[in-house]
Amino acid sequence: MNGSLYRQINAVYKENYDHLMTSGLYGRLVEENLLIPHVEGDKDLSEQTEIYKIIHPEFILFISYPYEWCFSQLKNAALTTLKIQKIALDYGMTLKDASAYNIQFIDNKPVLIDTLSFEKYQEGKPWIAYRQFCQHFLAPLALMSLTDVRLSQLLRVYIDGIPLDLASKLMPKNSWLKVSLLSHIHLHAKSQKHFADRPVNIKKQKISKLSLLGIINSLEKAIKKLNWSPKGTEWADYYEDTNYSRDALEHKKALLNEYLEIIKPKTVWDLGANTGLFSRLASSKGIQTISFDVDPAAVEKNYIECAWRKETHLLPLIIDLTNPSSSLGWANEERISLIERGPADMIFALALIHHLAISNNLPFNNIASYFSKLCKYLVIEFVPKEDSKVQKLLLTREDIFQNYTKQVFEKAFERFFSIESNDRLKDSERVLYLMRTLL
Amino acid sequence: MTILKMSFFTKLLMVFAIYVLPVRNVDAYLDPGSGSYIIQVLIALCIGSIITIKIYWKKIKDFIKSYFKKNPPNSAK
Repeated sequence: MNGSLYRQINAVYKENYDHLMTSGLYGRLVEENLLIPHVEGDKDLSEQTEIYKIIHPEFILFISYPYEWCFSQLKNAALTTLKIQKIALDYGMTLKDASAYNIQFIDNKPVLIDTLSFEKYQEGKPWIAYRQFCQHFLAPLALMSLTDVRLSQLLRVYIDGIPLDLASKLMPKNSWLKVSLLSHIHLHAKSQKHFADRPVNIKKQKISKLSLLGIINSLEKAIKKLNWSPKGTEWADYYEDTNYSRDALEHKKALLNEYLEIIKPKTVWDLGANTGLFSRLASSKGIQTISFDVDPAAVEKNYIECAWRKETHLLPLIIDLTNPSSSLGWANEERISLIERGPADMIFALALIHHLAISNNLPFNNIASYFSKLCKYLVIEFVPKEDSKVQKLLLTREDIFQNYTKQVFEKAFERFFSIESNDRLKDSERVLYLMRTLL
Repeated sequence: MTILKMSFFTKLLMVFAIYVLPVRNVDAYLDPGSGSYIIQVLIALCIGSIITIKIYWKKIKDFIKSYFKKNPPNSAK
């Protein structure tokens, strides 16, 4: 409504909502930046008796999804979920869901956004969100840590988390020797299969609060023990291996700062950001910046740096520009594609064009067209064929790129943008452009 | 260490047998939820026992100590 988000609380949920607000749980979680704050709406919006209240949660600038998160982002989201569950139990409540989609990064910290996910705790009842936690968090993290970090992409295919029998098959055999992974994944998977079409007595089994806390702690220990080190991928040590002289690098930074000062964008997307070296020029000015890169190691390094610098204006994410996240879920409407989450005020496409045009055979027109839909202003670096990096790409390819020239590049982009400024970098043949999208 | 692991397994197997056999009415038709339910109960049972043992470990140790104090193995009588 009016471009804002509202949530309807139905009468059946009244008791749980009231308990959340009056027990002190809401206050505690909001204070610790674990739950998104909301404002209650005026009741006269509805005459229906089934609706109890309308609430208006705080606006989130950019929605990101678990399949776009690096290892540590998913790990932190998992630990945050468990922390919230433990705190909730202290106030007599429990989480109904442990979906990774209920967590969003706000000021670069994982925050629960589903205010209505709490219900009153009844001692004896097991944790209803247990299965979801194992599929959304534990299984993907275990696979990323023990098998391959790229397996987080399975979350794009399985939108309710990775099925445990699949995760169990993909994990290394020695994971059967780790008690926590054995219980929560392997045996859990076997149990799911065993009871899938068998009658089961639900009411008989009870779990004491102490045992429940034991399970939560066991999950927490299991998650904490999973680690992944960002090295060994082709982009992990990129910045040690560039062909910029000191002067060229400083000139590039100076130009970027200048563009940021002139345009004053509210949001910046840095495409192919690697570890966020240039993204930080924007985020340090208080601009909400997102660093996108295809390499999980680069994004991980970026995120780790964000953590020790305590950054709040930079969010690193994993995106393959040649195959960005599409709309998923029921009717392809539950999770939205990248383009629908834009446009950004400004996009950085630095040292990127040759990867798109040469490695991926994309014509300049297509690149220009897509970028024009993603932003209002574009800062793009043209990397000429003579550049050593482009020569490196051409070593293993036939040079069919007769049209890869500065003139053709400018002509193609001028169909979608107006070129406001261009500067050749010192000590380099590379040119930096500032362009404005034509409406 | 291996013995501890073995008893965890045997414990798990025993408890599994106890819960698999008395099966009753509620139909869980092709639902992964019920399997998750059962395993959670089992794990809770194991964790519960371990916690209980940890809490009462001191009491158990003291009891054993006091038993040996009353009947020392090499008492001259």
